[in-house]
This record gives sequence, C-alpha cells and structure tokens, in this order.
Amino acid sequence: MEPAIYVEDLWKRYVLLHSRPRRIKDAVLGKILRRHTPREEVWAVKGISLQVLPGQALGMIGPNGSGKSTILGVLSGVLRPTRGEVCVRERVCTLLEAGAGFHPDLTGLENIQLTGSLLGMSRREVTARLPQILEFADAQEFIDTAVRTYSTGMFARLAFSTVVHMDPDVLLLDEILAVGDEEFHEQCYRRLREMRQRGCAVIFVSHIMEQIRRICDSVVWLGEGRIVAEGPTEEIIQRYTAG
Amino acid sequence: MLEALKEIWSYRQLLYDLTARELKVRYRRSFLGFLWSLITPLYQIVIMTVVVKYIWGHTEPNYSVKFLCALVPWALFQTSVTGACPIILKYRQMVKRIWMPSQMLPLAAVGSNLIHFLLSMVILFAVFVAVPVAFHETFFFLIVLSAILVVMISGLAMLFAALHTAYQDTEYIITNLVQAFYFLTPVMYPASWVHNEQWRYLYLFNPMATICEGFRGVLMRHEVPLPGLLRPEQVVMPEHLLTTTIFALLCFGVGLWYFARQRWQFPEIV
Repeated sequence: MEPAIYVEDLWKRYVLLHSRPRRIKDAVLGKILRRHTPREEVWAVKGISLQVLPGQALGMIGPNGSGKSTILGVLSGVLRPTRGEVCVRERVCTLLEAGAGFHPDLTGLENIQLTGSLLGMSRREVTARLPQILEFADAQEFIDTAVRTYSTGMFARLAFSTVVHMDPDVLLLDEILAVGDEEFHEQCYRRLREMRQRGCAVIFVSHIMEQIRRICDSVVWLGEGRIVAEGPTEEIIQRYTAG
Repeated sequence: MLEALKEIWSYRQLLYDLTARELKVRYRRSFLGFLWSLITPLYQIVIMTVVVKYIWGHTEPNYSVKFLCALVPWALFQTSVTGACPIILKYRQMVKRIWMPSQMLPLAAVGSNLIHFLLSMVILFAVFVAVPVAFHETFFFLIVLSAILVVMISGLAMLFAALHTAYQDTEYIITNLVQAFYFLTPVMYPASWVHNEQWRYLYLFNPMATICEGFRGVLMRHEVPLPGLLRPEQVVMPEHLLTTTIFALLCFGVGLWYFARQRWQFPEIV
C-alpha cells in the first residue's frame, strides 16, 4: 500500500531572526559596505525518515524542542524542508493546540467557512457538512457568536469537529486534547477510530502518554531533531518514561 | 505564471471570505461605517475648495467636482498599496501555523478597497445627478480605466506585502512615496494647471496621472483616450493609456513572481 505520509531524510534549518537584515536600509547598507553579518543557524530536524500508511496512527513524543512541531509544520506545508523528500497525500488537515486558523473575532460559522475555503472547498461543500459539524461539537446555540467568547472546551470542540468533518486524508494533531473533559476526549477517540477505518492517516503529538496509548499503534520518540527510538506504542512509551 | 493564476482562481472562495472579513472590520458591520469613512475625503475636498477659491483666488469652474473625480481612483490606489504592506503580519497567527495561499491576503486588501471604491462611485454619480450632468455613453470607459487600475494595484499590493514582511521599513518608504506622488499626480488639481504643454504631455506618462486625469476627462469632458475618438482639446492621449496598461501588467507580473518567490519563508519570519 502506498503510504499517506512519506518522509525520507528530512533536515530543517532555521536562520535566527536577529541575524538577518530586517530593514531595507540595513539590507542595502550591508550590500554597499560589504558588511558580512554571519547568519546564525539552528538545525531543528536532523535526518528524520518516517512513513504512515492510510488508516495508521503514529504518535510523536519527546521533550520540548525535539523537532515535533517542525515536522508537523513541514508535513502541513507551512515550512519548506531544507533537505530531504516529503510526500503527503492531498487534503491535509492540521489542528494545533489553540485551534489555529480560527480567528477570535469571527463567529463560529464564519470560522468553519474560512477553514473550508482554506482547503479550497466551495461554500456549498461546507454548508453540506455544517449539520454534522454542529451536532458533533454540540454548538448550535453558539454558532453566531464570536469564538473569543467561547470557553476553552467549547473552542476545542468546534475546532476538532470542523477539521474531522472536512474528509481529510491526513490529520496532524498537536496537543489537542490538553483541554476539554473526559466525555469530549472519549468522543474524539471514537471519531478518530472511525476516520482511520475510512483510511485517514493520523499523526498525534502529545505529552500525555495515556492519550498516545488510546490513539496510536506506533510511536516515534524524538530528541534533539533525531529519532531516538521507534516501534510499537507500549514498548516505546515504557522506555521513554523509564529514561 | 499560469499556475499562479490558476491557484488564485481555485481559492476564489477564500478571497471572498477574506475580503468580507476586511470589510466587516472596517465598517464594523454597519452601513453607517461606510458613511463614516467618507469624512476624510469630504473634508479634504472642502478644505481644498476653500484654499483654491478664497485663498488663492483661483477661478477654476466646478473645482470640487473635478477634485472628487480624481480622488475616487486615487483613494483606491493609496489605501490598497499602503494597506497591503502590513497584511501578512496582521494575519501572522494563521500564516505561521496553517498552510494557506498567502497571496490572497494582499489581494483581499485590494478587494475590500475595491468594494469601497464601487460605493464611492455611487456617491460620485449621485453628485453628478445633483450638479446636474447628463449621463453620457463615454462613462462606460471608466470600467476600462478601473480594470487597469485594479490590475496595477493588485501587483503592487503583492510586491509590497512581500517586501514589508521581510523588511519592516517598507511601509514607511511606500507611505512617503505615495505622498510624493499625490502631489505629482493631478488629483487635487486638474492636469490643465500644468502650463507648459510639452511638460504636461510628459507628466501624464505617470500611470496614476493617466488614471486620475482619465477619470476626470471622461466625467467632465467626455474624453476617451482611444484612437479615432479624440477630441480637439484632448488631454490624455492613447499613448498614455498604452504605457499605463503595459505598466499595470508589468506590476502584476512582477508582484505575482516576487510574492511566489518569497512566500515560503513568511511562516519563519513573521
């Protein structure tokens, strides 16, 4: 089977912001005076390879700064890899901790529509999915109020419900279950199981091992931009928590 | 280039959504918001009319209306070009975290100003009904002039938005350049105030001069700068229109190209 996510020897370098010219004045003067300010660089990801098949769920664990978010950024197309090959199936949906892509001043409905437009969907396609999204998030009454007035739990519910109903082939989830109650979490686990049965590949990033256990069938453990270990969920989690 | 145009077309719903969002913020969801935004041009016209008529003692007939004719396209130019600069930074929360065709952001800045422009045109025609000036078939040529203007500022908007995201003094430079061009363009005075005829001919090669005097020419003198339709006292000539059209297409091409070249690094630098 062809993988939904295929990453081969991925490297990602950041140029630190303070070491590059930030004004036209500085850029021009730098050229004229031949001032060479050395660029300060950081390698966030150093040679990662991974594959996720359709219907598979891969967990990513590791301390802060180990490259998890950078990898998700590359997979979602936000960041360009410095080196390496990345192949991801069309319609990738990304859900980051704060429900990124949701604009606080827009209403729930407008945010759902905007999410659809960002995926290149027409208004009609989005409207057809609206009842399911609202039912899942249980948000009918809040739909016309700005999302900044939502409670954290409500916000997370609507954000999750929106992306899972857009028929993604690949779902990238970063710390999304840090908020919300047990019931909502159970609802999410159920929904993710359904999605995987339909062939959706999932990458799930979390610091909470219990959630990784519930969702993922394999795990990669990252440290300082490299893979420390990978394999079946239980085995890797035990090694990770032990050391 | 074709690829880039196709991408814009396939995300037209997004363009519509972002434009609507910009307008909502601007007018705060009320038509009164639009009326409020007319205060700046209105007071500009009143002040200049007082200055020209009573301080300089100039006897230009219908001065306020002539000013208004050129101010409408100029306002579209100015607000779009300066408004596009900070737009990527304004949406940094989105640009940083999720994939999006970010060229839609400067285009949406143009889009929201275009809606404002169309509403202003309604006001302009209302003034003409009040003055009273009969409707003339040359008025349709305003559509051509507006289209050229929109192509030009869309290109400039993409170019300046990309530049400002990387170099954060762009907005100051552009604001000052636009201000300088405001005086070098026949906005608050008609091109006939440039006395030397040869100078005036050269002066009208400034693309915004072609557009602004073009608007005024169509509305006040029923003058269309197309070969075969020229009038004896024609101000804007076909060659002005031709160079302006070429300039507009060039702006669009350069803007599209430069934005596409730069946009991958936006998430890392905003």
